[in-house]
Amino acid sequence: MRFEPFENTSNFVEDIGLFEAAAHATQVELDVPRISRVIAIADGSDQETTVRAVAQRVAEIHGAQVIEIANATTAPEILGHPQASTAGLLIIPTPFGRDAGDLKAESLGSVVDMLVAESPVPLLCVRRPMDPQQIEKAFTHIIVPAAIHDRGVDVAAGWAFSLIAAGGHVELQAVADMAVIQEAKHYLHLEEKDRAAFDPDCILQRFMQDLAGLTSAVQHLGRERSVHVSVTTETGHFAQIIGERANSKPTLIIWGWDHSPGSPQYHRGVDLVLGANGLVLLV
Amino acid sequence: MDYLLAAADPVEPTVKPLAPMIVLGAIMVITYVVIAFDWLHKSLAAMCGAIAAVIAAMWFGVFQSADGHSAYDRAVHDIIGHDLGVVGVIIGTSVLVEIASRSGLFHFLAVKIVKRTGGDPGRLLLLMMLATMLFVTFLTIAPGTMIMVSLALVVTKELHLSPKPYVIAIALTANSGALMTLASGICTLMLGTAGDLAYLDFFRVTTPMALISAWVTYEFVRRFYRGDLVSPDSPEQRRHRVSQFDEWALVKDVRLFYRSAIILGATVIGFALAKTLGVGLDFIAFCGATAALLLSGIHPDEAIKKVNWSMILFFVGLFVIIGSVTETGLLAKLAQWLIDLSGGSPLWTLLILSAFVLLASGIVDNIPVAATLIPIVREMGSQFAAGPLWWGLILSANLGGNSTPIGSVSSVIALNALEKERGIKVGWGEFLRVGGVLMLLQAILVLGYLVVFSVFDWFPK
Repeated sequence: MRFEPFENTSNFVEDIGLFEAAAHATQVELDVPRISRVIAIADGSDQETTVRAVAQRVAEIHGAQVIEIANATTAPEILGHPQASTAGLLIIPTPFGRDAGDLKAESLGSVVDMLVAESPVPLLCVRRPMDPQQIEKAFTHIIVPAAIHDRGVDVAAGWAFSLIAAGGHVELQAVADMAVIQEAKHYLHLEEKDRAAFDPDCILQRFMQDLAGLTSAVQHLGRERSVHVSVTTETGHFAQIIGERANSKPTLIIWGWDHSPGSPQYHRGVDLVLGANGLVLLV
Repeated sequence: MDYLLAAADPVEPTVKPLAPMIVLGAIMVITYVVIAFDWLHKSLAAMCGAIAAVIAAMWFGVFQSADGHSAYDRAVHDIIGHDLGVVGVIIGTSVLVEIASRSGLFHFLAVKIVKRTGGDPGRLLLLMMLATMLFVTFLTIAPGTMIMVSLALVVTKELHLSPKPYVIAIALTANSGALMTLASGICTLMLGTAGDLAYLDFFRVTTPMALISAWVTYEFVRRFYRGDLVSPDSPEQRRHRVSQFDEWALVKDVRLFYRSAIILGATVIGFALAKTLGVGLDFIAFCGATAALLLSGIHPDEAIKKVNWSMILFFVGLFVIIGSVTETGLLAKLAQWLIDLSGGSPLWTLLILSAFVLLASGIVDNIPVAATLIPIVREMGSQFAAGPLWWGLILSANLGGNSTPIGSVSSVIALNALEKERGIKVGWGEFLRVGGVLMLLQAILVLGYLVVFSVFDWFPK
């Protein structure tokens, strides 16, 4: 005779994962950058006014100086500007770009491509024109996406606290990209028993354990600075999940950037810039 | 469950035919056997039993048409309709508990409590049991047990302690926790609603017994497993390991965390005031769930899909079977037989009924046992005050489950987890030596407690 409870025991597995995470959370120190100089690129595009307004907003937050570079048509001209290498942030219009899907031949336009590959300074991309109210709101809702294996989430989280308005909302959104996992399963010709290791819940659970230290750090900093912090986890297509979340209202996405063109992290960064209605900061 | 009251009208002199009693009684017993031996999923067994019971009742003309309503309409829909209160509370609290759990509130509190022990094995046992009581009070047995068992498995691994005493103590304490308030356990809720017991009266009758039985559990488990409550590490090492737990790593959303705590607290206050406000507990539970859905920012579908629909179907099926059997007059006969057995003494009736439930709840799921006894107690209520019988039923149905490894949801969850996660199997023999003996102690306590309450007339009127 046995007796099965009604309750779904997947909650139980999740609970164990959470407590394991709490037991082994590595301490993360977040570096919250201070910006003394902001460079705004004026290229005559429709986004130029937005670039200026965003630069002004960042300058207000940090008490920084805004330097505008006009008539620079190439990346070397921008990077060669005397103030470029010492600036805290470079704000650029990104009106162009395409994504050739599986060929991974994505581009944000020749100038921006070179900038994102070579700039020593974080880039804030302005994809579409925004009105002043939208810009104001974007600095009250910052999304920090995290994908498995991608580095730099802690750097992005530090930047989020550097730019968020008081009382704003920083959202750390972890995504286990099932499209990638399905591809891996197919590519590796895994046996059925091995495929169990690719169970989305287990993957997400391990991922949350990896992020435990960061979760604690952002919650502490959020309490210290009166910023609402939430950590969410989801499985699905990375760009789609973040895009839907970010485009539901004016948002600033901050992405830990990988400067190597062609890497999955680089590809995801370009996807975010191409798909965003709001602002995307690559740090 | 007023339909049951209607069926138990004492002035009705009609003699009910025997055949429907035998057939419908057999359907009920067969359903319980199928559930007990797990031959079919519990919900499916209850639904099958319900269909068979309705067909048999229609065949024998057990249901009577009245007021322009068909016999089926009057009987089956009335049966389900009158039990919507319990179903409503289950749905409402499920949504609320799901949202509160997602905020990390209870996980955070659990780790905070564990850190207070400094890793001392004895203090860890005591505080884990107190935390179990607290969580079961607010979350009901299954979610409260799952959180605490998960924590016990992780903490004991970190401290190089045997998880067995902790996990078993949590399983046994959870059943005491279910006695804390009217809404702390499904069985308590079902019986409390059926007996129309006031929320605040639980603090007078069942809460003290919950605390006493939990204390007995602590003392018993501590003595039984004293050889296992020893750590190979030094106190400094243990303190260091426990201090390494970072409770903030569990908090997903601070705003949701505080809002959940407020809504949960307000819902408990609402439960206490429901009778004064003239509303049902289901209304309060729905208000709490709606507030949580509105303020949490969680997509409603995400929270609603976590409602235990399996249990709801089980309840609906069970209520239809018992409602149909009640209509045959079988349960009224059983009630009379019990009263005759006790020589018409209310105290002996209370003790016989409680002893039976203590025993039966360890063998089969306590929910069908309690549900079947509801119409019987209602019938007895026509001959003497039913209040003490309801309290006796609540105490014994919850604590009776401690006797066997399959007697309660908490034991099943805890023992499965212990085997799956740590490869430790607790057999029937060992569990009977712990839970079985403990249940005997608690049975003596419960029966003595009921006698004292009866003799001194302490039961709420």
